[in-house]
Amino acid sequence: MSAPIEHLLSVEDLAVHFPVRQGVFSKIAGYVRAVDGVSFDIPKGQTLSLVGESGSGKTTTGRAILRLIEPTRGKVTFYDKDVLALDKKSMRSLRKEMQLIFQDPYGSLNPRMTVSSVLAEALKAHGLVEKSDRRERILELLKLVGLPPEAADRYPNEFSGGQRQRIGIARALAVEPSLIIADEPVSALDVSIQAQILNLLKDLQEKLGLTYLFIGHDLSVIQHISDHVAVMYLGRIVEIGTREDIFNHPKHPYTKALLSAVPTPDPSRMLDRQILSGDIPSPIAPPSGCHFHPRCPDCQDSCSQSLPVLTPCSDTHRVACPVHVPST
Amino acid sequence: MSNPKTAHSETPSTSQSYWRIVLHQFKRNKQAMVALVVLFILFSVALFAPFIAGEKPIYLVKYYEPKQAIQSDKEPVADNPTGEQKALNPQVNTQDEQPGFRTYWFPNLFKYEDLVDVQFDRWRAGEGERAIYALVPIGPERNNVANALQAPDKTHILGTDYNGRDVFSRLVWGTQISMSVGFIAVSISIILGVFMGALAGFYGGKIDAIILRTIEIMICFPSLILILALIAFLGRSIFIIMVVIGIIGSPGVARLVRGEYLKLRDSDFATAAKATGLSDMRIMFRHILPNAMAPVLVFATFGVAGAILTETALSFLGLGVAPPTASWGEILNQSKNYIDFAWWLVVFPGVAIFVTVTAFNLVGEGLREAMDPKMRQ
Repeated sequence: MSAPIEHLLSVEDLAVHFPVRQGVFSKIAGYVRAVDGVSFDIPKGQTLSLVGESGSGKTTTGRAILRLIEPTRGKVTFYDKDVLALDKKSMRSLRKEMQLIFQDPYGSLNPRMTVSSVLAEALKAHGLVEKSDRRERILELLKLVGLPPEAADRYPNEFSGGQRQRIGIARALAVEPSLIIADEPVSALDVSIQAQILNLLKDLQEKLGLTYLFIGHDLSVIQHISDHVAVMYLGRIVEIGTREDIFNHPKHPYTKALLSAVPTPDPSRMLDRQILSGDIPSPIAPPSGCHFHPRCPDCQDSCSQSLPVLTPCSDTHRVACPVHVPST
Repeated sequence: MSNPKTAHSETPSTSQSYWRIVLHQFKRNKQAMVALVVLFILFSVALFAPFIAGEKPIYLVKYYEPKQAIQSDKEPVADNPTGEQKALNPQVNTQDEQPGFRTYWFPNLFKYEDLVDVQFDRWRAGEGERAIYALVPIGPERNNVANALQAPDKTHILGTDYNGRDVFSRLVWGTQISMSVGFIAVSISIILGVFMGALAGFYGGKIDAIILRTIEIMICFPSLILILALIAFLGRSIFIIMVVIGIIGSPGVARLVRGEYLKLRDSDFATAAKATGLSDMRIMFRHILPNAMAPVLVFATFGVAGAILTETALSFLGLGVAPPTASWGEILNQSKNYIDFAWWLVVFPGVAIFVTVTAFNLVGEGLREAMDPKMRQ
């Protein structure tokens, strides 16, 4: 990152801790560190993906940026605005710029509202379109996401999963945002439909100059859509870099394990597959030192002592593993 | 709704909407359907009471004799020379004073200036005059002490009470009171309850705690005693009864609604509405409320039955509607003195109350079952 790049979104040391209450008086017994000090930047018009197992804090990171969950600490800068310092009213108007696409296409649409009223809500909220032009804009949005105009007056339960996801995308686009946080937008869909939705997202990015924060766990999907990738484990980023860095030169043992789990048509590659043992540990009491050390194949004595920090190993590539990338 | 042109609609899985499924399930419940028909009849009786029983005719052709001339003669002219007296007496109009036959439509519904002085229970049609009466041409408040406590016969099909008033007529008009108490009280319960429950469930935390404690305090009061106390303070009025029954019913609604909001406020579609930048009020009432109303509807049907019973109980205690207004409970109240011979005073209002309350409860039960996915076959 030598040349000055315009970052649309910068996240610094973002943390979300949920209190765990116990006993009669609901005393705070501890904290779930769902997100614990995450930092990254997304250049304008590009896509950063967050990858990791379930429970690694990807979704929480996305929602904390939008302040749908209030973060415990950290700093989120959008253009030049400090998002976390905004009051309720300015936050509401900023929501026009940052939109969310949901994982579950069934739960994310109000079953009692037609498609056109769902979209109209978004337009009304920010007073974007005159009332007389609203219908036209709704049909335009439907066309943009590849739905027929007849879809406007139907209820969500009349559509298939893929179509519902298109409606969800149309809702996000209705307010003409510049950043879209896509929270596993294809993982609930059929494989054949996944490709359609991914290509739609890519087309829209090109056409409208959108910036994506893409959250996912399917590495083949991530490889298809990302410019940059951040690998998360237990609320922390363990490796971050460009798509080439992560997919061709993975450094962190966790990244390597994830990549080797991707199914390939080549049976010979199956042989050097690395299988992780055990589950992701509880975020209430994470392991000491490097959170990954109990499951790490390359674990050394020092790994349980101190928390590794992200250390650059090239201009774009940073890794938090002292064994593979020793800090100077 | 299904348009054959759209190839995209491959999954009309659950027909048009949730309510269609509920309706389908409800129709399969014979008991509930019969009860619904009974309710429909009761509604019609309440709505068309002036056409079923009443002394004022539905249609009337009557000879009109001007009387304003006599009145204006009596008018003390010198009393107020500013001319205000003229405004007070607008009937002084030369055109109106022409005598002749006049046609009146629905004197039973509207008030006609010409007819205020007519005593319809004594009035008989003269030559050229015509009148069409209600089914039973006896008003609910017409006293005839000479005719008191008559057993059912041709003129008084359900007998008369101790003032000689027709029991059928009073039952018909009492339906109006019962229905309006039921519906207005439950509407008040729902409006208050939805508001409290929505705030408590949506915001949680301190607001929730305050509203929940308020609800608990409200539930602690025995409702009938509270109503009696309030009537003692505020006076006897059907509106006070409606409002108080409504307020007493609201905590139940609030709890139901709160539960639904707790469940729905973290749903993806509510989050989506928030992410869109909508205001809390809009999310609460436009997006979440339609999804939270189903259990409230069931509660409402049972609530109407409860409210009707409460009003009847109050009237039975002599604290309901003010006499001479007809009410089911009031007839029962009289009957307790004559129970050894005047069986018609016990049986007919009793049956009316029983049928109405049972019908509402059966419809409520049917709705509850129709909405319960576990009951679906």
